[in-house]
Amino acid sequence: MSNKKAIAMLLLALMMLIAACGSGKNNAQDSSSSSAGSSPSGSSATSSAPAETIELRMTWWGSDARHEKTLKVIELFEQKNPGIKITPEYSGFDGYFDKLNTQIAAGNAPDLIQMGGNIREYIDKNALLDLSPYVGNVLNLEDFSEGLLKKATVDNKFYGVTLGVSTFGLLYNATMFEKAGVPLPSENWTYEDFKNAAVTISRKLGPGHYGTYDLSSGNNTSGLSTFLLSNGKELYRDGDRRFDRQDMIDWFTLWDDMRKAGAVTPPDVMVANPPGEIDKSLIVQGKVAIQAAAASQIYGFQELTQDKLGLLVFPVGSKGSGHVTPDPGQYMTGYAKTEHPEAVAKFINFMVNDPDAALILGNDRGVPPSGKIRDLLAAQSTPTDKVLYDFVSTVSRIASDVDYQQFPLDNELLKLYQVTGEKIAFGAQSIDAAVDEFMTEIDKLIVKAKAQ
Amino acid sequence: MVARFPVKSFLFHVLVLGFGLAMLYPVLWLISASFKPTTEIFTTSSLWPANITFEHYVNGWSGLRNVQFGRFFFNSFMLCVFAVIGTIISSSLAAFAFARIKFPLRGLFFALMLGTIMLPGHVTLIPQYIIFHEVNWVDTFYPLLVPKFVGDAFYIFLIVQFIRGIPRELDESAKIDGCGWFMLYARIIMPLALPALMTTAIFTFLATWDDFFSQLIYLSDIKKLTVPLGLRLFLDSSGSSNWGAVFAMSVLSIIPSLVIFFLGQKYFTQGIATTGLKG
Amino acid sequence: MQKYKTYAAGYLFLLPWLLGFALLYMGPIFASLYLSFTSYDLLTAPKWIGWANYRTMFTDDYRLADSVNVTFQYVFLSVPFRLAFALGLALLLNQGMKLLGLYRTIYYIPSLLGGSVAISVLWRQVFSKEGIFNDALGLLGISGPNWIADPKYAIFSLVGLSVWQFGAVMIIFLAGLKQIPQEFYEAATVDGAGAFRRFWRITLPLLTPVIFFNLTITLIQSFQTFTKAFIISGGNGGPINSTLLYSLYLYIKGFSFLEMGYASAMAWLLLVIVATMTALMFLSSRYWVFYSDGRD
Repeated sequence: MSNKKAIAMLLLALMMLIAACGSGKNNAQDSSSSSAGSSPSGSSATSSAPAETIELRMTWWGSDARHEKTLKVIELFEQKNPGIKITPEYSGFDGYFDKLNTQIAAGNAPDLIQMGGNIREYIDKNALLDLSPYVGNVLNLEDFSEGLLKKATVDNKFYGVTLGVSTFGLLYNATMFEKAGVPLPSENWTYEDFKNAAVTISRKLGPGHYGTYDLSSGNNTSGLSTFLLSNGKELYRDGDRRFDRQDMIDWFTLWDDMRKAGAVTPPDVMVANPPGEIDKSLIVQGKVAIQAAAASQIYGFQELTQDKLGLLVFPVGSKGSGHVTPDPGQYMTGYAKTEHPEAVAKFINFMVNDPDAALILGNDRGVPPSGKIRDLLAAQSTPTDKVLYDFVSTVSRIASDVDYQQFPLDNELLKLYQVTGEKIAFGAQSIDAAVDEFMTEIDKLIVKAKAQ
Repeated sequence: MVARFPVKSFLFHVLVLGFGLAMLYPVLWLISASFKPTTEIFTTSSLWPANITFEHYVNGWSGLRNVQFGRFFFNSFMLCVFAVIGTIISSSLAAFAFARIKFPLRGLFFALMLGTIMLPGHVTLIPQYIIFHEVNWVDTFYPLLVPKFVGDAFYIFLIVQFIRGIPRELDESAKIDGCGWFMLYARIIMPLALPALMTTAIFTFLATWDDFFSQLIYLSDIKKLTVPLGLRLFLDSSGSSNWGAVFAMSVLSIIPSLVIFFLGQKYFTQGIATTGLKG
Repeated sequence: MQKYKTYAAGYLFLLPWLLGFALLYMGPIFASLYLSFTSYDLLTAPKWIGWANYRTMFTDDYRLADSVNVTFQYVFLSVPFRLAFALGLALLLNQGMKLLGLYRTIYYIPSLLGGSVAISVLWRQVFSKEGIFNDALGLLGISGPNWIADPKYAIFSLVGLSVWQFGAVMIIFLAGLKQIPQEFYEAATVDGAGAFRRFWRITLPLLTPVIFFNLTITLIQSFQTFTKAFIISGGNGGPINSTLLYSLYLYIKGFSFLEMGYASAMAWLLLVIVATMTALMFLSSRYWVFYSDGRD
């Protein structure tokens, strides 16, 4: 008797579960996301309406503004291509790659994937679709510069189409410069000039105000890498590092001096208000005048403050500018295991070449790589757009002729750099000791990278 | 009861209330920020907004394109309700077995059960995801609900401890009266363990309401998203975040939890009388 | 025969859990053990490397040593305070006063925020150098450091967050207190027992099963704290790894550096540590935990 009741309760629970998931499943049917359930793609599909709908899944990260724009573009594409249906899966940046990696591990990633600077890793691990068969027919990239295409090309196979061009630079608060009476620096300014400007700003604006964030600490190696390059060295090339201990000592000493002169945010202030987190950045609060940032982030920063913000190049060194040609900030790629590679190529083509799509997307992912699109957008540009365009043009002009190679194991490098910089800034280790540790660890990373 | 303080004393209430409000400061900040215009959220620090705006509530609620934030609330709520039902039933069944029935390997299974909460979830995530993918449950609610119907070690352990606080004599008398195991479970032990069950219910509701990572990994379709995922839609640490909307929706999302908590409170106020037994 | 009926009943009640364990947990648990002996980057198949991960963990990973250190500090600071506040407040609030419901709710609200994204912003507001906490300390004449950003003190802001959310533990204590039959107190009062004796002889012993639960479970959970450390430090465990809790480091290794094999090895090491500690707790429980069901 008691056992029967137990079974009854279990069955009841099961029934409720099925009822619940029944409705859940209906929702799943509406916007099916199982890539296995759609029609076969057929060999070379012409543009005649296919008998069954092709279903693609697409993922990207961004803020709600970008989500709205991208969704509009998808709708537009579906209207013009009735045989193809795209299911979007979008989120903010946090957790995007965790989820993507999990999906790839299970063989379940979406057909269209937005990638960032880490695209190389995914190419090397064979996670992305080779788009070369489609370039020139479904995918039109005539208007894209060679350099941009090369970035996503490995062994003559092409994997990612640039969505927006960006570059690193120094974001600055023009209003603070004005208040302190410091003139805006020129393209050719040196670190000496940088120091003077920063010190003046700190002094003139009083306690709690600083000329610059600490570029020798934090989650961003753009300061270091432009410093090295501007002096004829490099962070990494062809399997090895191209700088030595003395370079690192020079870099950290430079910043230690600036810190002692009062021009730089104290380490605890920087940890509490990381420059990389827009809502916490002190530039927005008018307390720090300069920080390193990706140029396309200027929109996010400007939104949060009434002060006027702008973009500066990094100081030059003995060999000129340390900048490299503006990079693709973001790519659109296809999943290696997609069942509809041609549809994937078609959508990517639409996203970067269709004028209506371009007008909707704007500069949200960086400066559009296609010259035609840039011209199209010129008419609707805001002042902030103009700042971004001008900056990217300037950098293109002054950049050194170097073909930038990204350090493999980038995440580990960033963590190492951040902790080293913090140790020095907090006085937990002397510069010599900290650099010794840094060099040991970085060599270990290089060995590790080679082994992969 | 245990009277260790002059309860009615004014000082007592002042201290307790004061400490409580001090603890609430961060929450008050959150509420105030949700009414401030975007450019003032991070630049002003007073609790009372200089300019009050409702835009964040409006924007946040209207969500994105095709989905309103209300949908996220609905999804979260449904998930929580079923999670609670599933957890209470399955966890109490298992707890009853562990606490009251002697059977071989009981100790071993108890240890295994506890063991499941000692292994950090991040390393079982991928294998579990692969299992769910093989049965085509990804992007459905199944991976989030089915585990709730097989017992949760935390609550099993909790309920076991409570059941063990119930004297055996009751069991003996019930058995003498001809009570079977299930009757014992349903009519005697469970009612006496009600505080534990209510605690389980409330905690399960809150944990499910707040659970970000599993919901992130398993849900993709926008219409299925839940509150934590919905909040993250407004955040993009690599670009511009809509903090106003996040704060406004966060404030709103505390409300159901608060309501559930209030409603469940009276079960904490009932004492247990163990005299007498109804057959 | 009766015996076998009992066995069957036991297994029947345990059936949902048994099924779940067999189908949903056993596989992944063994998988993670297997993965700990491999090098696995999520994007390509795992490669067997034997004991290499474990060897590296014990000989060549200074971050791991730091992380273990930080984690133990965190656990041994946060657990006692969390439990103390929770028990203290529960006893205080269990007196049937008028505003009881209100107080209970006020103290519980922090737990409602859980791992909400809003916490990262809130916590900075309160614990930064110019935050309200230092203002309060200032009233006592103490000049507080930057709790969030100073490597010497960042761990305390983490402990603070854990203790701030003691509401959940308090609720469990309250439920436990409610389960103690009124008759015991009435009888004791009739016998002339004062408040302290009633507490010491009735409340405390009868509360030990719940104290044991809270202590054990809080220990197990705090060793695995992840979300708090992630939101407070922005995911990097800083400054200078001072908030790099074990689970956070594990996550970074597995999902950020894509070394899931190593992360799995770390997970199993943690399992061994936590399981040993829990076993010790259970062994000790026979000396101080009083169960009314007459079992040990």
